[in-house]
Amino acid sequence: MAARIERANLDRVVPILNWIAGITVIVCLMVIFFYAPTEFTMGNVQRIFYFHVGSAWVAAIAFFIALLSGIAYLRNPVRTWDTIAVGSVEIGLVFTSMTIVSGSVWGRPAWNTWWIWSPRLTSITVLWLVYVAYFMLRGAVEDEDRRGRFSAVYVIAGFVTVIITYLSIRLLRDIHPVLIGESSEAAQGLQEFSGFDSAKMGITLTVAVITFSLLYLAWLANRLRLQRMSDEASNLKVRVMSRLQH
Amino acid sequence: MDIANYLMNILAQGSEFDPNKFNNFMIIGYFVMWIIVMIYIGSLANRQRNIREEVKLLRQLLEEDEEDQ
Repeated sequence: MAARIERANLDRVVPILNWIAGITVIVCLMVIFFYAPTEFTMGNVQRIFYFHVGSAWVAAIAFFIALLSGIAYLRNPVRTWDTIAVGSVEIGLVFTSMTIVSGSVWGRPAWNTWWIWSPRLTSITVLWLVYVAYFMLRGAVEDEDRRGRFSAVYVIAGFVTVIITYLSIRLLRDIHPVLIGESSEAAQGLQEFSGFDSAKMGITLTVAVITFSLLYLAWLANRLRLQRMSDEASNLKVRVMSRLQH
Repeated sequence: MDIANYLMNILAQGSEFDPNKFNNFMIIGYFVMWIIVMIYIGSLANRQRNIREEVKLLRQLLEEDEEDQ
């Protein structure tokens, strides 16, 4: 399946995906600023929450897709799986950076500090560094086949940091609230809101997650097309070199 | 007595809720997030433009070579 993603198909799909993602981002911003209720304790600054959580979730999805692509590459070493893994890690890092920065800015009025080395914030920093190191590993291996295999193994092992980051606030005492699922009494998130306002917040968060998912798809398609163009350039270089030798 | 009640009410309720109290943090947060997004989109666009130019140049070289032959 992955090998059938041709350049011509991508050329058709990429502009459509770009437009859809762009329009969805505008709709998402309108929903956040004109539909979502103003939170009682924090006021308007709570609106950062929708981008913060949305980008965090889609970053986790991107890293999970990188993990799946890594497994697929080890089973069937097709270049496209490697490209999907690289693109997903790249985009996942962009979303993780957004999550960290927005969390820090929100943390200042909420916790009265820009940063604290709590389990969640420490684990997400480790996650970010682990995935940055993925590109250092790729840069260090010249042989394409070995680079693909090493990267696939690394991206599979690296997913442990995503699991640790997810579980950190559930297993350890943390200043960061738990949004979904069971939590300790010390860490409560949106549970304090109820009724219609809570539903509106839930809808807004869903819109944000859908928006970031579409943005991820659009960027991944762009990344795949970039790889196809790069492959085309490499093929042309080989042809030019062979012509020059004759 | 009224004054005492008034002061007690202030102490009990705290200050009036102001939803715009932390607006500057919201603006900073969205601004920085958009900068990150724009840097990534810019980097994608830049890489695509460079490779497109490279492909164009290589095709031109091949065409010129074919014409010479």
